[in-house]
Amino acid sequence: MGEAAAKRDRMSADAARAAVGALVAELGPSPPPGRLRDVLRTSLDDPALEVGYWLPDLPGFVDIEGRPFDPATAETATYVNGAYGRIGVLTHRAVAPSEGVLLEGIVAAARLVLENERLHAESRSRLMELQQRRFFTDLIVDNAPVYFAVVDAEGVLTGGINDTLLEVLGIPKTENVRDRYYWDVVCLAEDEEEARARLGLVATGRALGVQETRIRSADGTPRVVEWRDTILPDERGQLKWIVRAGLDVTERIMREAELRRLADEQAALRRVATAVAEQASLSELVRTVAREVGELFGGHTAAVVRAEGTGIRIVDGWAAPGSRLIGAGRFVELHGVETVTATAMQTRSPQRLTDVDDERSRRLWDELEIDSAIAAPVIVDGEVWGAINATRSAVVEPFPAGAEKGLADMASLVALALANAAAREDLNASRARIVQAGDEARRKLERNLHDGAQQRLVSLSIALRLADTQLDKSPEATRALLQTASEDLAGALAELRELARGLHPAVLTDRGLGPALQVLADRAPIPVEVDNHLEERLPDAVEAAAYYVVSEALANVAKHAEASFVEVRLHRVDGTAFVEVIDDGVGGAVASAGSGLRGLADRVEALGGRLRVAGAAGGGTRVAAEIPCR
Amino acid sequence: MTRILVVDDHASARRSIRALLEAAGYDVVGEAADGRSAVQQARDLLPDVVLLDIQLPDMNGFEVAARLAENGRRPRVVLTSSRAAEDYGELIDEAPAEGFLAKDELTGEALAELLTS
Repeated sequence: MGEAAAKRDRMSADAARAAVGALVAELGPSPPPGRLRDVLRTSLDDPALEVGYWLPDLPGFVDIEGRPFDPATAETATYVNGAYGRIGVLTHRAVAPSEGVLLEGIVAAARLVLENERLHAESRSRLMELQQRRFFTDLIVDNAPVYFAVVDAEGVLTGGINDTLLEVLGIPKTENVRDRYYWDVVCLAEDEEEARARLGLVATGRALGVQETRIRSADGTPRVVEWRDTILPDERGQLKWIVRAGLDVTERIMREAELRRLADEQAALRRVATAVAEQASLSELVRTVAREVGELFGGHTAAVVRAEGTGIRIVDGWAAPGSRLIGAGRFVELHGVETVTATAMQTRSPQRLTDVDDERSRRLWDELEIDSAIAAPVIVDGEVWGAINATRSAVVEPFPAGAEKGLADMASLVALALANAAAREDLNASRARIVQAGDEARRKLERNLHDGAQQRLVSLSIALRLADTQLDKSPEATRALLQTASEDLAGALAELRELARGLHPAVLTDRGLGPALQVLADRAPIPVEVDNHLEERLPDAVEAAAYYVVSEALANVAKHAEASFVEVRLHRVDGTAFVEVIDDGVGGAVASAGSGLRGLADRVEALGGRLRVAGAAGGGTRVAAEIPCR
Repeated sequence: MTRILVVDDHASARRSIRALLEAAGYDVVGEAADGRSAVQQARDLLPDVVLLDIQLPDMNGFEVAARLAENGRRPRVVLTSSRAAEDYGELIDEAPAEGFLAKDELTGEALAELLTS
């Protein structure tokens, strides 16, 4: 080392000693937290100097307030180690090599104070973290979809209740509930005793399961809550708080009830559908439906009614035990009253009514203790047949949502059963008519044979016997007898031919529908034009049915229509034959009126076809048959 | 000569029967086309025999025979028909009548035989 350098070192060592002395004096025996930084700034003449404290199990370096501190952003960082490793860092401007000794001295002197301040920074940092955790917890507690209530051993809400519960209860956040009893704030009045007892048991550790209770809510409807209780002891292990965490299960319970109701509804529909499929009698079915509807919807009464004139007639009804029922068979006038049944039938849609306006209905509701009603129309073949209705009394809740839709499903089944029954009835009637018509035709045939050909043949037989006895005595008289006999024979033959043609026209068998209808047209007393678009023969049964449709229609035209012209049209589209007889007469015929048309309809329907007769009075008549060619 | 009332609703049959019976030597005193006029004419004409068709428009031959049996002087009744006897079964045996002759078996001899048996 040269002389000059040695001198410089001595000078800097002196300066360092002076600076450290000043630093120690400045800090004093117990410097307040953060004081070190200010003193170091003065000692090193660096106003931007910062001190970081090493907290290895926390964020790393922190400042004196415990906030994260990043030494990497500074111009120079001087790390400070203690007996067991790193304890801090100084960030400062760059120092000249001549100041190295000074810096070392100051860092050594500051080490103890830095160690102390590091404890302070650590406690600040931990506090900050706790605060954050607290804030986070509060946030969760107040925003969780769970109710929290914290009560002491006496049931006072000393720990308060969370925002979620406050909101449901309709209590402003600003309102203090901490000196009030839990049951006064949260419970329904009638549940107060139960809540007291429960909290008493929880406080003594005898009940910690789940408890389901109702709470009052801002909109007045009670909500169902499942509570779980946790005991929070104090430092001595004594009960300090009971934390009640409540899950609102109102919607779940409603959904479960709704699912149960839907399942019940499906089961009831199945039972009714089974009754329909088993072709139960109408009265049996109606009774089943009324009972199912009543029981399903927890009704007071249920009834199946049939539209009749300006009112309805009760077909059958059901009443809950102790309820009054309007008896089956009774007629109820609906003119001028707005009942749910009348509205359902008018609008052809399910309806619900929770109040009535007019005096008469009000009296009826009061008399029958009705508080709400639902109804659904029964529509058969597009016509309103009647309705199903159900009522509830004031003592139970109104009908559940969608009850009227369920009722409509039930009404559809009733409609199906009615349509089936009507179809069965029609079919049976049609069968009976076909049998009757066959019998009648045979009777007529026997009578015609007996009165016609048979009589002529009897006379012929007598005449021949007479001729035999007279042949020798009187040849002239015998010749006259034989002449008469010959005429009788010719007459008998003509009548037999006519009868045979009536049974089944030979031309139809031999040459088909078109030529057969042409024969009918030629023999008709009024002009008939046959417009035949058939390209090939139809099945025998279809030809016969079509022939008789035209034959009967032409006979009717001749008898009743006063027509001047008739057109017969024949054509086939895909697998269906269409036959139409259109006249320009007086009109007004209906298929069910004359047994002739009815019989034809039966014949056509027996082949799976349809016969329609249209014609307003004065506008001519159109008889049209569609017959599938199977 | 046996006096006969012919009852039949068919005019041609009545005409043939009258000719046959008259040729066989019977005296046809009257003809009736239904049950009511048959009963009336039997009362008025007092025939010995009523040749009675079973199928009539207002009542059947069995009912007419029963009415005729109520008369004070009752004629002998012979039932006839263009149907056969077996079509009527026991009704013929039980009727207040001499018997049954089908129209295709009717001759003067057959009638005489029935009336004398």
